[in-house]
Amino acid sequence: MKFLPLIWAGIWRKPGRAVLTLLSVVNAFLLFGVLQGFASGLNHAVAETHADVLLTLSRISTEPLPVGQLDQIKRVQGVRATMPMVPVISTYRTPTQIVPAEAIDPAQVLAVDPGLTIPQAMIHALQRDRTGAIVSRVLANRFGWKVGDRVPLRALNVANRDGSPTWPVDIVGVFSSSGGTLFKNAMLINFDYVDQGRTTNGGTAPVFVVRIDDPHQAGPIAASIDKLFANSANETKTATVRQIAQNNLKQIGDIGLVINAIVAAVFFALLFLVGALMMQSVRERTPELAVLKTLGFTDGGLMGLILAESLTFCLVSAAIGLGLAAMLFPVARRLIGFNIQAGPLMLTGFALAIGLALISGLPPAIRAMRLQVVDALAGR
Amino acid sequence: MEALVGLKHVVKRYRRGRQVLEVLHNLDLEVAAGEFLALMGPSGSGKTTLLNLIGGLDRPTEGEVDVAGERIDQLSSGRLAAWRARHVGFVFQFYNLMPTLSAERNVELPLLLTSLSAAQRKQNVEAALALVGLTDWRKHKPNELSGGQQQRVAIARAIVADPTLLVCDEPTGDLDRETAEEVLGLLQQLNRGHGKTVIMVTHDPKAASFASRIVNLDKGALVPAPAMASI
Amino acid sequence: MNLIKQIWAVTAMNVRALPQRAGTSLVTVIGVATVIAVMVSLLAIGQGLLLSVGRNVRADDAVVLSSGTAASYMGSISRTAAAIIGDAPGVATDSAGRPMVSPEALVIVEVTKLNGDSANIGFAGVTPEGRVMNPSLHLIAGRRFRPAVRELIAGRSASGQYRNLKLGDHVTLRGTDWTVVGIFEDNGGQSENALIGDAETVMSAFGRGNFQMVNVRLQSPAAFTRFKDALTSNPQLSVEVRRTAEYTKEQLKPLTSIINFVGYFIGIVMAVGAAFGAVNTMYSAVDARVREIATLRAIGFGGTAVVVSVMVESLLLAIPGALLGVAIAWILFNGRAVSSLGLTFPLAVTPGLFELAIVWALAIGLIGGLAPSIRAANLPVATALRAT
Repeated sequence: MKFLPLIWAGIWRKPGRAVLTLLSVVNAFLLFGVLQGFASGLNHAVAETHADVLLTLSRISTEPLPVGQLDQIKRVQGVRATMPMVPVISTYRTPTQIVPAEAIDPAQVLAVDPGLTIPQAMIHALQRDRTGAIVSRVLANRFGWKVGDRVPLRALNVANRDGSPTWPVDIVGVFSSSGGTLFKNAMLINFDYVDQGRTTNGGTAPVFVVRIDDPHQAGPIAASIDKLFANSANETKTATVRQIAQNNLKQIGDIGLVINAIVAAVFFALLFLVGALMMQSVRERTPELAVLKTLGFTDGGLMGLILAESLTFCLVSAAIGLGLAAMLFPVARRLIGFNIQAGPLMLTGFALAIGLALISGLPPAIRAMRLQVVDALAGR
Repeated sequence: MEALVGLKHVVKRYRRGRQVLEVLHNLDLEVAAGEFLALMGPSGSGKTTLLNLIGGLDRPTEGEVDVAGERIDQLSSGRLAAWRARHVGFVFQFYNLMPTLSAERNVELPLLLTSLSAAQRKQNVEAALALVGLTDWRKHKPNELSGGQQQRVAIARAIVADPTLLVCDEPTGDLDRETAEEVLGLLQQLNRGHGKTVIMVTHDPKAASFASRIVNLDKGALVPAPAMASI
Repeated sequence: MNLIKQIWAVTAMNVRALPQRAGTSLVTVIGVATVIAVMVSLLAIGQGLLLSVGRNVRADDAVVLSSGTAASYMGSISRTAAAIIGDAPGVATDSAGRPMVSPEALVIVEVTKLNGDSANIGFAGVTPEGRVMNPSLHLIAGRRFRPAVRELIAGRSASGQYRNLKLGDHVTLRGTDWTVVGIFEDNGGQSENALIGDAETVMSAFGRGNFQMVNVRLQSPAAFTRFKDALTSNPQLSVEVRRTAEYTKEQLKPLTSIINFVGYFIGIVMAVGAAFGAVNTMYSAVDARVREIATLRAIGFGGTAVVVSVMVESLLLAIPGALLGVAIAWILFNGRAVSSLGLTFPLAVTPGLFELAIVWALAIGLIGGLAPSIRAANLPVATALRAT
């Protein structure tokens, strides 16, 4: 665009001020990118969950279920595979380093979780070694584990027979799983190891994983399973993994709403910032803008010029802010296993930038448009 | 010679709060093509107002303003802007260059409103800068140039689109004696050597002596004055 | 004193000129207000949580749990153990000379929210003697439950949020049927989100042979140590003894940590943006008055007075921003009930948060004023006097 040098010169008229405003806008878009990325990551995680995997829990969510129930569940029509699962939430070395370990049955784990990709050899290794563990690559990266390492897990909810909460395990494999699996960021250990070693709740598991043939039958099958144990001492509650993930999110509260409110507040303040400074810039440039009119720039032309400055400025700042946020996404994926869709986020971001530019740029642009050449040149 | 600029019965009134001021009273003036006209008068005499009318920056309250056969008093402000781009080059007392643009970018400004290609624009800018003798200074910003040099850049900007008229409002008001004479000499050269019609407002008789005709304005009306030796 | 007078004069002059620069001044005010509003609102969640859970908790309260349990409802304390606890040193006695202990059964039951979602709340079984421990708890409707009958009283909040918990309703909990015979309130404490029944009835209905916890009133906060030592050294008992106040806070720690982290993180990021805005405002303010400032310095006002006056002006803009921000947070969110992770509590914009807001605003104002004030003080006077 041939007017670009003029537009650029207008923006950088006072470099210090331009830089500061740029930083504020970059800051705002960075925050936007991070918050929205987080929200989108959460939604994506829910969307990735499988519809043909059900979880059966006790109706009283704190009580475990006897593993004897698994046989009955297996016989329900439409059920393909079942597996007990004991979450052994542990810490490693310091109380803030959490390791989500799950005690499972290696023989069944691939059958119940269609999204899980673990080589058979690794499964066999886990079966052969009672104290074995296979970890996801994300966890291995985070703690620097490799095959052969002995990891002392300090369980928060399961006590070992020897009275301590420590469960030592040996890493026998590291797996990578993209897509929806229950064990994306987890460590898999043997159910038998935990069940035989623990002091309370032997022979039970808080969760059963149930794989069904047809995801469309999830509702009726879940109802059938729960009917099996209705009015017994151990009533169950079965739902698809996706349903549960969504409920969990809902429990925390309306995160989307909170994020949108924060972003709205930030951009409101930003409107003021950019608007006030553009207005000031136009006021300072009254003589120069008047000269442009003498040269033949029309009123509309000057309005367009100011809007173009606003747009250029906001788009460039947004690009920087969003770019910085986007740089964090791969880090999030590596360290937390969080998948964030950058595309839609960028689009929303740029739409916001345009909105910001137009709204904050309009009053100054109108002022420039209305500028009376003769008065301005005379210094009035 | 054909009158390039013709003002007939021009009246200009302003509203200042509740008062109405009449700044120009029933003025008639003709400027021939190729003239170098100096408009003189004390401050408040209305000479800048007159200049603004001729340059198409303002419209008369009554009367006609005709430039190169066109009634510019009847043009809408949008058309007037386009007219200015093609027909007028302005030179101001305080140069009014864009402080953030280089000399050549400043000179290029009027050409942005045309449909010339980038290469053509560059050519015209170089020619204009050569004419005012500032080719070596084309990359400099105004704050790196002296007053006289800035005014010459302004002149280059004023002529780069080859306008019909060159309109100057106290062009040497802010310059020292020596530089003022250089600038006035340049204007004279543009007038005599390149046939440009120049209309200049000044309060300085020495500056007026560079013109081919002097007209005096006092309290909004022309005062007849002895013409200087013309071409 | 001369310096103070100078500062006063310059500042007064600047402040009087503020209305002329309303536009840019508003930038700082609005910027600060936004940061404060968002940050205080977020932190109000954590504060509300702490306050609500900490309500009714006294410094001389202690709680005894089975050792090694992860949660209060998983414990197992026998009646004999409860008696031993009642006899321990340091336990307060009531007017009749009985030890102030309240052994309780605690089970988690599933209830249905009004919108159909399921939720889990606590159902406590208390003994008749244990009543004296909780004088603030009183019925606002109906009557107390009778022993050996499956009757319960529901907390005000629970009654309002979940189905079948109104006075006179019948509700099925874990396969057993209960009648709601009363509604109680407890000074806004978390128990209002739970159910209370007779200990023996609850224990037999849900297959519990033992209590889950024992709440104890000590003779004084200082009595805690003797009390704790007596119990932990007793070989017949396998218990953990904690001050109730600490225990509650600790249970919440993961949640409050995250909330506060998020609040501060976002607050800091936004504050940085606001600080840039404030610096901008002050630079503009200085720029607009270059000639005045230079004139003052030519007259003889010292550089220090100029610096301080600019800083003061910046602070004067930041403080209304903070007040506005807190006001917004307060109007929008104070007292608003939030349900999260099974807890219900009102957001609390506390005086502590107000102080925090002021501090942050001052910080932003200081940062905003710093560079521009130095610039103002170092303007070359001669050139500045010629500026337009």
